[in-house]
Amino acid sequence: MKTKYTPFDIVLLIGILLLALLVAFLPNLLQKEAETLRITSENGEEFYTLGQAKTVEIASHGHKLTVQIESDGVYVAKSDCGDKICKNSGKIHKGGDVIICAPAGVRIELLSGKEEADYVVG
Amino acid sequence: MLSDNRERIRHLAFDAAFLGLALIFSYVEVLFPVSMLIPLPGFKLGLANTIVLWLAVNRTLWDAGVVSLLRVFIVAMLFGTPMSFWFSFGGAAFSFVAVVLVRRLRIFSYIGISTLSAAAHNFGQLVAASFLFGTRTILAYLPIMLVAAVIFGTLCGFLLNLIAPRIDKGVRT
Repeated sequence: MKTKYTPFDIVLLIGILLLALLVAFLPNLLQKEAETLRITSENGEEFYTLGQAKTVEIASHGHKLTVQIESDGVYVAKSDCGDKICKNSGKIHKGGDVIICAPAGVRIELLSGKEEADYVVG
Repeated sequence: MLSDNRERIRHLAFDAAFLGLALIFSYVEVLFPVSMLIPLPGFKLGLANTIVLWLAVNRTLWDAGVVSLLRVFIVAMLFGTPMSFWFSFGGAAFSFVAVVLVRRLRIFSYIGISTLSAAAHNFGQLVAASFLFGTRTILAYLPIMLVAAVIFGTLCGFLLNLIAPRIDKGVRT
């Protein structure tokens, strides 16, 4: 084994750092723009296409949520649940992003493809 | 026959001494964790791994593997938990495979082999954690773990580059 650093050492170090960068940004590159919104609640699943601004009222497990759909994302505008985690989750806009409201049992999820929609409301 | 036995005993004592040294390095890292210097929890310098690396390069893989495995067991019993055992076992196993692959290559110095070993170790830890917690999201730590491997692996490799020639001179293996 050599005991003085070699050019290959440097190449290896840079290679591992590049790999770290790649792994760090790969999920962002693979994430597609969302096309469909799926809301799962007590009442089952509902699908919405994104694009037009729309307000959706959800009643589930004794709680009321107001979901605001806008051209650049989806957020919970109002909720009467206790912890307000859903509201504080802010606006989601990429495929795979999720907002959960645990007290109301509501899952608000953006899907990157249209194919998963059984039917589309609105 | 007699000299053969003596040779074996010498070999055993030699490995035992190196295992002791590796344990002392592990203990030093428990006493003075890296987080005392920089506020990053959970990172280790990997001093004990320098012993395993030296053995893998200068002795046989058998010596390195046994010392590494025993060190993982003993450290888990002395300072660790069942959970921490699986983390270090996963790390040590991946690291060992990486060292097996590159130990005969003449292109790297100890810096290269140490960094590769550190990167494999951290990856192995994350794989072990994914299994234990049953989730893949832990792999999101991989980038920061790889950067840490480059920093700490280079430090350890640098130390080995300095020390290995002196061991070669001082130790009749």
